[in-house]
Order: sequence, then structure tokens, then C-alpha cells
Amino acid sequence: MTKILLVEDDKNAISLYKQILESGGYQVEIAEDGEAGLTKIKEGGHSLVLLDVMIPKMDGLAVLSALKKDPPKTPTGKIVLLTNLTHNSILEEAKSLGAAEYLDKASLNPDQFLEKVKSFLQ
Amino acid sequence: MTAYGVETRLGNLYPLVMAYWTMIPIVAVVNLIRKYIVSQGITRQQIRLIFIGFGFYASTATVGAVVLPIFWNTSRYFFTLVLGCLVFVGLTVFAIVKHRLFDIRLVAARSISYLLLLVILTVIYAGGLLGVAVFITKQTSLTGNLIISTVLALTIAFTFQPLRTLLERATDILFFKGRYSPNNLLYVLSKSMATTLTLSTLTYEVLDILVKQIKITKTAIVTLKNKQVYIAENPHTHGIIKITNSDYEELKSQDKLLIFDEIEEGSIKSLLRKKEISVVLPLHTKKDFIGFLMLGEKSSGDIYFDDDINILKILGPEMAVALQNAQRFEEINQFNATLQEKVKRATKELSLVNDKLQKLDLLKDEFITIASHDLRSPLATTKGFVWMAVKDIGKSSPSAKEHLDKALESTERSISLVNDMLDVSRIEAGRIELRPEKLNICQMASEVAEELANIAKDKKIEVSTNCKGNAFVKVDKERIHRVLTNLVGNAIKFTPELGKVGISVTKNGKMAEVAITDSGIGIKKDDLPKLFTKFGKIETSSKIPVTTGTGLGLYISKNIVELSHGKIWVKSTPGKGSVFTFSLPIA
Repeated sequence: MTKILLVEDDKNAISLYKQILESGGYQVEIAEDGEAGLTKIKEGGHSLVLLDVMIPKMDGLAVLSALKKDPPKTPTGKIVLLTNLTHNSILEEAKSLGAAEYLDKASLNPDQFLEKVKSFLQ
Repeated sequence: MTAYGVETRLGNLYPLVMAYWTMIPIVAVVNLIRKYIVSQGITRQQIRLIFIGFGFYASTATVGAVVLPIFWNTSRYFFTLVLGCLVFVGLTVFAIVKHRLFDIRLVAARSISYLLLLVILTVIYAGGLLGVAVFITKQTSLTGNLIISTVLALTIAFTFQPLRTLLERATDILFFKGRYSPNNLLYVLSKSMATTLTLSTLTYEVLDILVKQIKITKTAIVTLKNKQVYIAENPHTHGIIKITNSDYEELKSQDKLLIFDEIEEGSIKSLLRKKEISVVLPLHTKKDFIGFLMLGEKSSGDIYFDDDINILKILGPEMAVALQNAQRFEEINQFNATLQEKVKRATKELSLVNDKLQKLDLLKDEFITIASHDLRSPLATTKGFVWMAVKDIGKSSPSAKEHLDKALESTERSISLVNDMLDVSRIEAGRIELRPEKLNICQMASEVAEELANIAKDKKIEVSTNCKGNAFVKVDKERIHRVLTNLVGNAIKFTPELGKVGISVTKNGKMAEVAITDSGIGIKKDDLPKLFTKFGKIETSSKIPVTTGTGLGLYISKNIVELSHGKIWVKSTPGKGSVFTFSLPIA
């Protein structure tokens, strides 16, 4: 079963994306802050990482730059930003730090979201 | 009548001669009295001395040479005349020596030159006569003598003038050795004053010239600077006259040319003595008092002659004007420097304020970023959940679906409102970030038409696209997509059921023009300028139920198009429809 890591702190958002992803047939693992996210990414075993930016302890960009400095030994899937931030500069920076893409939470409905996830897993 | 051993016999005209000799002193006395009345200080004292001398002489002369010979017929007391004369001469000499009545050296020089002239002429005349008598005629006849005398007299007449000049020059050299030429001094000083504008250089040069030419031990040019006495720049550091503020005031109260030798004892004289000042020349322009030129003794020990004083009097006003100009020039320069300093300081302050503002701006930007993020987050979640609820319950309960649809629509509107606000704040802060990429605007037009097809279908509106071939532009894909969506969305919104909306792309020179045509209600001419302004919503007739908008769409679209180096405009006929067109540079 394809395992997806969701790094997100908002309880409601976690519940929403967990339901959507599970309805799409994916196994979902949760990390509720940047540090936990970083540890889990390093442990590996995820086909895709959905990383929020505004999260406690370490923000999404910090997680990305830590990964860039010290890449995980076990291969990991694509890292995709899942955020409500729309600043081009932040998104560009994330891309330069190794994020594959970004998803704007507010502009997608669950169907569109699942479609995007599917495309990242191909 | 007997005098000293000599028998004197008076001629008939003797009283006449006496009358003549009496007239001369009377005229002289009248002149002196007139002068005495108008004179002051030293001149008055001198005239007084001369009066005393003359009085003595006149009385002895009157008694010894007039009264006694005429009425008592005795010339025994003629000698008193000589005594009186001696007293007169003595007092006059005293006046000259003590009070500088006139240039005694000039008198001496001239006297000697005239004396020499007299000797030479006598030698020529007497020698000529003797020579002729001894070597030529041997015996003298009256006629011969007359001829010779005439020739000699003519010779003397013709040689007198050149000889006098020659002798004067010779005695001048002897008496006035090392004396400056007044003309040269005036020329050099005037030139210096006319060409120097810096105060310090001016006083330096003027004093240098004066000291070197007149040979003065001490000098100073004194002015006021910020209400304090200012001793101007002086080249001769050991020969500077220094005075205090109160000295300055005291001298200023006199306000006239002061010559040490000529003023009476008093506080001014002791001041000048104490400071070793010989001459104080007040410097006046026509209107203003500038200061003083002060001169100490001449190094020769000479007094200041009339020539010197006259030159100073000529120089005074000229020097005052030059000093005033230099002072003003200095003030302007100083003002200039102060101004520059002030501008510099103001600029620094401004740049500090600017830094602060920039920091504030960053804070504001950060605030907007976080606020919009925090607003969007719950909306995004709500949107997701409502969407799922519609899917879950929608089929079983149509009324619940209707409610949830409305909730979803409201959420969507909230999201787009936050998006619009965010864009506006970025536009106004000049921080909107475009990510240009090459794309086919024809293709985008078709996509937007397709995306909005559902909404159009609800109103039975046909959306057509007309684009021949490709039109590539280099723009921010997402933002131009929003512009297009906004314009087409508006067109659908404001077009009644069964109407038509068309999107066409044409090339016009270097620009691709996208026109959105509708058969809607149109816009009144008066409302057109309001369209592209912030919150520029216009009132519409109630015929068409229009969902509310933020009124920011066209404002944002205009800004995005313009930032993409394009233009946006509208043509409209009320009741028939509108055409919104925007252009983008072809890539």
C-alpha cells in the first residue's frame, strides 16, 4: 500500500486530508510539527511527503534545508508543499531547497487534490 | 634822527611804507583769526602760539619802529623789533616742532634748493658781468653794461625753471630718501583690493603693501565679527595692533580720522599711546561703518605727513567697500556651507526615517502574509469538508445539498476575497511578484471558456472562442489566468439568459489583443472611469440578479496587465453589451 507522510499541525486539516487520502486508497502517516516530520522523512518509507510550511518547531523551509544539508540515507518520495501561503518568493525558495511542487490548499477541492496526488506518485 | 651810530633820514614816503608793512600783518592776522574760529584741537593751539608770537612782535614793532620814530623822532628802540621778531620765530618753531604745523622737512628741502638756486644765479650774473669786464671790454661803459646785463638777465630767465626743477629733485633725493611713491602705492593697493575677494587674503595683502611701502612698525585692520572685535589677518605677526571691544567702542564714538600727534591729551590719546597707534582711520562705506585701519609709528621715526594722510583718506572708502564685499562673500560662503551641512543632516534623517519605513513596510508585508495565510487555512478546510458533505448527503437530501452548495459558494467567495485583498496589498506595496513564462494565450482562452462553461450553461449563455493559430506571450500564467477568468466571469455575470459571450484573440503589431465581448446590460458612459479603480463597483439595474463581488477584480486585472507591459480598456453601449480588451506583448 502506498504510504504518504502528511506534515501538518492543524487538527481539522489533518482530519480532512487523512480522509481524502484514505478514500483515495493511500496509507497516511502524520507528523504534527517540523522536527517530527524531519525525523520521519529521514526514517524513509514514504512514497510522497505533503509538507505544510507554517508548522511549529521547524517550519517547512527549515525542514527542507535540513534535508538538503543532510540528505536521508534511505530514499524518500517527492516532497510537495501543501500550504495556504501564496508568496512566490517562499514557493521559489522551497523549490530551490528540493520541494517538487506545491499545492494551494484553498484553491483545490478534494477531487482536484486527489488527482494532483496521483500525478505526483506517477 | 639818530639810530645806532647811523644817521637815518626819513624820506617823505616813509609813512606809506610803514602803512604797507602794517597792512600785511593785519591781513595775516585776519586770516589767522578766521582760521582760529573754525579750527579745533591741535590747530587751535598752534594758531594760539603764533598769535602770542605775532602779538609780541607786532607790539614791539609798533612801539619801536612806528610810534617812537614818528612821535618822538627816535630810532633808538629799533632793536626791540628784532627781539619781538625772535620771539615770534621762536614760538612758531615751537608750534612746528611740537604740533606738526607743516612738513618741516619739505620746507628745509625747498629752502636749500632755493638757496642753491640763488647762489648759482648770482654766480652766473656777477661772474658774467665780471668776466665781460675783465676779459672782453676792459673798460665799462653804461651802454655796454646795459647790453651785458640784459643778456645775462635773459640767460637767467631761461635757465631759472629747469635749474629749479633740477635742484628740487636733487634735494628731494637727499631729504626724502626711501620715500614711497604715492601714485604707485595707490595703484598697487587699488589693484589688490579690486582683485581679492577673500577677507583674510585681502587684509593680508593690503597690510603687507602698506607696511612695506610706508614702512610702518605696527598695523591692524579691525572689524566686528559676531559682535566681537576681529583683528584681521596680518602678515607681520610681530607688528599687530590689538584692541579690545571697549577700545573699539571708544574709537568708534570718535568716528573720525585720529592722528596721535594732533589730538589733545585725553582718554583717546592715552589709549593710542598705550597701544602705540599713530593713526586711526575709520572705514566707512556710503551707508555702513566697517571698522578701522590702524597704523603704528613709521620705522624711520618720521611723523605722518600730509601726503600720507591724504593717501589714507583716499584709500579709506575704497578699503571699506572692499572689506564689506569680502565680508559678504565670506558670509555667503559660510551660509552655503551651513546650508550644505543642513541638507546633509536632513538627508541623513530622511534616510533613517526611510529605513524605519522600510522596516515597517516589511512588517506590514509579513502581517498581511500571515493574516491571509491564517484566514485561508480554516476556509480551505471548510471548503474541503463541505465539498465532501455535498458528495455524501447531496444524493439523499436535495434540500441539504442546496444548503451545502450555498455554504460552499460562500466559502469560495471568502477565499477569493482573501486572495483579492492579498493581491491589492501587494500591488500597493509594489511587491507583486510575477513569474513570467511563455504560453499560448489562445489555449488559455479556450481553457477559461471551458472552465466557466458550467456557470454559462446555467444561464443558457453560449461562450465562443475565436483564435486563429497561436499567440505566444511571456506572462505570469496564474495571474493572467485570473485576469481572463475575471473578465469572462464578469461577462457571463452581467449578460442576461440566452445571451452571448465571445473571447477573441488577435494580433496587433507587437501585441496580442484579447477581447471579451458580451451581449449584456452594458455600462453607462459616466461609470466607465470608475471601473478600473479600487472598489469601483457600479450600480446595475435590478433586472439581472448579480452575485456580489469584491469590486477588486478589475483593479487587480488592470494592475497585472500593466505590470505585464500591456494595456486594458473597455467599450460599452448600455443595453447592448460591452467589450473588455487587454493587450500583452507577443513573446
